[in-house]
Amino acid sequence: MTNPDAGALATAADVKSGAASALEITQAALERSESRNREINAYTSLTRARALAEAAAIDARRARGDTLPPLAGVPYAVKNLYDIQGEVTLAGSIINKTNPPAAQDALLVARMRAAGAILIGATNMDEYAYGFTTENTHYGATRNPHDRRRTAGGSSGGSAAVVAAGCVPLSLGSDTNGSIRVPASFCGLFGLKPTFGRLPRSGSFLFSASLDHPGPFARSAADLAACYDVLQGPDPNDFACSNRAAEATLPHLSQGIAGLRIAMAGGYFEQIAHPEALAARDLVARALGADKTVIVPEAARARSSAYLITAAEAAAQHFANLKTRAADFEPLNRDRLLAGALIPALWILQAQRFRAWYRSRMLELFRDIDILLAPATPFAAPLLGTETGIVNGKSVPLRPNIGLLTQPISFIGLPVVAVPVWNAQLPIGVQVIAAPWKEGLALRVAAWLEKEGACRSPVAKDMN
Amino acid sequence: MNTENPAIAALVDAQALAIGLPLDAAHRPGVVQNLERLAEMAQAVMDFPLPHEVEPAAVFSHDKS
Repeated sequence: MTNPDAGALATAADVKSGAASALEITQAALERSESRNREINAYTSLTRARALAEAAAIDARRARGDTLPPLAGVPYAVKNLYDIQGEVTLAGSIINKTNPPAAQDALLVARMRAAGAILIGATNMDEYAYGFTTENTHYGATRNPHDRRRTAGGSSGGSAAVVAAGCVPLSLGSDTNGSIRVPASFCGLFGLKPTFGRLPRSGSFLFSASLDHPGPFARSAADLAACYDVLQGPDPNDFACSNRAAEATLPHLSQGIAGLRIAMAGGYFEQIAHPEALAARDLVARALGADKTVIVPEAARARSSAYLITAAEAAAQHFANLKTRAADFEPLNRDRLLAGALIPALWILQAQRFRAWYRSRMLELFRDIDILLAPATPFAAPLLGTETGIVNGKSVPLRPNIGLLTQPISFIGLPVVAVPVWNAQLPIGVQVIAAPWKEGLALRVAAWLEKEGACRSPVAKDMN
Repeated sequence: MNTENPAIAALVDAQALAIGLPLDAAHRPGVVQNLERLAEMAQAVMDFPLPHEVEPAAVFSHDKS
């Protein structure tokens, strides 16, 4: 029997060798998910019957002597904005509860299934992905497995928590302004937000169409790369998805960092980050031998523009319901969504023009460097219910400001691996940022940091 | 204590009326507060001089048609 804390690749190897059956691995994952969920409230549903059927199918293929796919028998979970055939896609809302069940899987769920992975359940999130704390008023807050008084981050908080709690080795989330990188930081995980347009969104519930990026969580760089590799490929039905062919990253993961030009993001990123976040970035920079600092041009305006565009796009997406049933929205988001519907067009178009300018300046910056390092969050996981925090010396509403360091990067869709650093009681993440389409470089750096002992992602202790 | 910015409060009321968005009295103060925050962000964007030739970055393509 496989160690239940084993990663995805180790689990798949055991299934392929016959050291463990997919069925026994799946049963163990379902049991753990059920018992540990009582402490962390990370799942909104378990897909037990489907999981057992998928596992039996993998075992039958092995019995026939078939070559098994790369993630054969690996349990995983998905944020509940991904369509799961036969289930209602809640996206954290009660409004969606009366929608019909999904007729088919989201394309990424179908790709995980084709790769042999076993779907264990759907996970909790901030309603419609608008938030950084997974304090969902309808379904309850997800708790951080490493300290259950604290937030797991959001909006993909449930997907992060189930991996950190050791329920499953892999999960899928989505990141619009930081919703993979923030929970990866707070839960001590490796998380990948690929280049905008790299992974398809067909069958996932949109939040802010020009900013939404799907991506995976894992407890090792190799598992993250393995999952990302099976997710890649064009999608004729997603307008934003690139026609680029898949570019496998796992085979190149151990190539090291020789020749890579790595720099730290100074200025805005250093002003916003608290000492624990800067210490984590410095630890990562030292491990990589990076001592140069570069200034990201107009990062604060980039964040403001991302905030504006998100509010407007989200409001347009939800306008029909905002008109007729505003009171059914998450109270923490409702007024921001309503305000998003009232934004003058001038502000949005100017933000979109600024976006084009900022993109060209950032691409210039990446002519001289390969990797940019910045903290993923200004601080480690706050206590649940925290209303205000300190940013740049000022007391501000906490929840909308957790993404200050992630938003200027996703605004122009750069690929990022969030890597976990433990230099205090709580983990905190560092963003390893690359130029567009260079996910492979960021994953190589993450693998190097793990090998050097600078980053690690243990399963939370004291879970039942 | 919250003091409403009168220009933003007027924008909320006029725009909501014009686009047919009913605003519950209980929601209105939060909406005004959020639009004030968005207006601050917009000011930073509007203050930035952009060269005339810069186009909006909206995603649009005929690649898949």
